[in-house]
Amino acid sequence: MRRYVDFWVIGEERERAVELLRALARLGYSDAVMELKGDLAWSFEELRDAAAEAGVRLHRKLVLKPNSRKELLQELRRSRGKFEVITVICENLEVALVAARDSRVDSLIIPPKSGFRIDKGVASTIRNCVELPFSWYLANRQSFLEAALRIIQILGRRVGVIVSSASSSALLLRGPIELASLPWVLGYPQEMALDTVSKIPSQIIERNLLKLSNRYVCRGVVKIGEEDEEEVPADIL
Amino acid sequence: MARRMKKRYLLIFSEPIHNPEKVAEAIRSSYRILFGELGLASSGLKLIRGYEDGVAILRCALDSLPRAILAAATVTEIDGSGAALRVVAVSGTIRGIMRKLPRLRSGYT
Repeated sequence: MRRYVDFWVIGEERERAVELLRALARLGYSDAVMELKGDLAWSFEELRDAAAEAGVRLHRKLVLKPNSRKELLQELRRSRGKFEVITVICENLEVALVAARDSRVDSLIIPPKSGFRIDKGVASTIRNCVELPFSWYLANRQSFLEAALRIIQILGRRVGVIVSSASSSALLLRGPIELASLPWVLGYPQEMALDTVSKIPSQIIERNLLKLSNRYVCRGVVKIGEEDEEEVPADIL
Repeated sequence: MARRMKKRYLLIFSEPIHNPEKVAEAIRSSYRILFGELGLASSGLKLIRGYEDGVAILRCALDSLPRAILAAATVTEIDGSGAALRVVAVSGTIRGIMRKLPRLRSGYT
C-alpha cells in the first residue's frame, strides 16, 4: 500500500499547526514535511508528538530563497544537519544551476515568472527533484500551469517531480489524489503521478533520515550489524 | 456497434458543508475554466446523488477522470465563502461508492 507524503506544509502558529496535522491525517497522509515559522521553530519536538498522536510522521523543512550562489552556499553550510529536507526557491539561473547539483539540496522550486528558461542544457545539469507547490497553482493558475507544463515536458522523464500543498491553512490542503491529478493532467501516467506524492518524497525523507543518523558514514556506506537496526534498502543509499 | 462509454463515480466531501448542487456547479464551473466548454461537454460530468452533510457523488467519463479531480481540487470558494472539495473515493460503479460511503463518512468526520 502506498504511503503518502505532503512535502511542504507551513506551520505558523501552534494551534493552527496541530489543526493542519489532523487535517493531513484525515486526508490520508502518513508523513508531512513542515516549514516552521516564528516561535514554532523552537517547539518542533512538541509538534512531532502532536503529529504522532494524529498518526502522521513529522519532518522539518528549510525553504531557502537566496539571491546569489554565494548566499545559497552560506545558508546551506549554516543549516547542514539541522533539517530533514532542504528546498531552494530559484529566483535566477545562477541559483538554479548550483541548487540543481548540490547534494545538500533535496528539491528545487522554479517560480512561474522566474526570468529564465529551462532548456535542455539546464535540464541536463539538474540532479535534484523539482517541486510543484499546489497553493501556487491556486494563487495564479495560468502562469503556474505554463511553468509546470514546461517542467513536466523537459524535466519530467529526467528528474523526479514532487507535488506538495505548500499551505498554512487546512482549507488549502489537498489530498494525495488531488495533488497527483496535476501531473496526471499534464501528461504523466497515473502511477507515475501518484509517485510524485508518495514514492519520490518518501525516498528523499528515508535517505535524509539515514544521513542524519549516526549509522551514516558517507555516500553509499552505512554501519550495519546492530540487532535493533533495520535493513537499509539499496535505492535510498 | 458503438461501444459503451466507460464512466467513473467520484465521492466528494465538501469542507465546510455546502449544498451538493452548489458543489457540483462549482466543479463544473472550474472544469469549464480549465478545459473549456468542449472539454466539459465531453466529460459528462454530472451530479448523481447529494446528501445534506455535504457529500456529493458525481459521474464523469473515464478519460476525464484526472481533469475532474483537478477541477474539484481547484475549487477554493463556494458562494463567496472559503471551501475545499475532497475527492475521497473513485469507483467504476455507483454500488462500489455506496459500499465505501459509511466507512469514509465516519472516518472523515
